[in-house]
Parts: sequence; structure tokens; C-alpha cells
Amino acid sequence: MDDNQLNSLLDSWTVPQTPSLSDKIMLQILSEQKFCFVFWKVVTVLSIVLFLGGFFGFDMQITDNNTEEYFNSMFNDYIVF
Amino acid sequence: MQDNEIDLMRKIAKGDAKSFQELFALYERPVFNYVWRMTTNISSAEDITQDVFLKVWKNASSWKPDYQLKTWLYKIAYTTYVDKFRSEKITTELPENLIDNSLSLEQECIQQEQQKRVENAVKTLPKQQRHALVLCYYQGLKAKEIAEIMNMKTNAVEVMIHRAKQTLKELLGENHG
Repeated sequence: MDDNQLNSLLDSWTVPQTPSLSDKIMLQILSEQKFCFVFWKVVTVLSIVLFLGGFFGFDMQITDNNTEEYFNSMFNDYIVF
Repeated sequence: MQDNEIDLMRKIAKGDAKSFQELFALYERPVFNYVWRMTTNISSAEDITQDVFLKVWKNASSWKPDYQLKTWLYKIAYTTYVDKFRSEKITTELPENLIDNSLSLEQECIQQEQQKRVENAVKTLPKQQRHALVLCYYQGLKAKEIAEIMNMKTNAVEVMIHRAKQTLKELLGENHG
């Protein structure tokens, strides 16, 4: 058998046509992107809330004892949570 | 190296999904074709193709412009196939949906028979020879590129391709008449 005959036979081995995987893969990628976006948003918001909670709980000069107790109890609630 | 490919990869590295989609459209079929010829199973080939492109998406920033994009993609496909083949049993099946519906029944039978012969003959090749042959003949890669993908010397790849063709000539020539 010569090269041309072999090439002709090899060419006859064709790949089946299948639907594109584009939708599947883009869905996976976009889901991951969305998850990351939401995750970091939540982390940012929580960080701000905790920071403010801590700030109001320990650093602020509170003159009103009731207010101090209120914020301290709120901060403690975060810790418990 | 084409400038638009470099630009595409830079955008993908920054998380541009639209650019990724462009790249996917360009290379989905070549990668799938290569993987299918190794597995001869549509489901496995689709899984591996998907894994390949997810790796491309996650590792786009690691690609360097001095490395051929095509070679990089096939290298990922090669290693993904090898890893999957090692960890799971990839079932290889007879070809599906390969018949051209415009042919007569007799022509269909002849075509199917011929494809089966070629497929069975290629399957008898040692795995490395098969990879080399498919990448060279069907995917149009040069020996040097295949050597980079398979982490071998160029000479060794050329020898493998030559041996693969010789083996196929013997196997397919027996029944060829």
C-alpha cells in the first residue's frame, strides 16, 4: 500500500457531528463568575458591618450609658452569631 | 503568532467571557476531533473537551505569547486525556452517527465497514504512536509541535509517526486487496 492509499483510508475515518458545547461551558463559567461576585459582595458587606459594630462598640466616646450598653449588647450579639 | 490571539488571551486572562467564547468557537472542533479520535466515545470526548477549556479559562494568565496557542491547547488536551485515562476507564465504542444519510444502503455499509477497519487499525497502535499520528495527520501539527506537547524529542516523534504509518499500511493493506 502506498502513502496515497493510506491517506485515502485515513481520510475516511470521520468525526461525528455533535452539537456545540458552547452553552454548557459558558453556563459553567458564568455561574462561577456570578458566585465569586456574590461571595465577595457578602464578604465586603459583612466586613463593613463588623468593623462598624466594633467601632461603635469599643472606640466611640459614648456619654450616654444606655447607648453604650445598647451598642455593646449589639456587638456581643454579632460575636454570638 | 497572530496578534488577535495574543489580544484574545490577554482579555481572557482578565476574565473576559466574550473573548473566551471567541476562542472556544475557534478551537472547540479541533480539540474535540483530536480527543474523539483517541477515545472514539462522544460522551468521553465531550467531557474531556469541556475540562480542557475550563482549564484554559482558569489558567489563561499562565500562557505566554512566545508559546504557540495551538500547541498549548493541544498540550492541555493531551495531559487531560492521559490523566482521565489513568484515573477512569474510558469506554471506547464503535463510531456513532458516522453514516452519510445521502448514500444508498450498500454504500452506507461499505463506508461503515471502511471506517471500522481504519478505527480498529488505529486502536491497535501503542498509545503514544496513536497520539502522534492523530496530532500529525488529522490535526496538522508538525513533529516539533507534537514533541512539545508530548514532552519528547522531535526525532522520536518522527520515528513514531513513521512506525504508526507502517503498521497501518500492513494492517489495512492485508484486506485492501
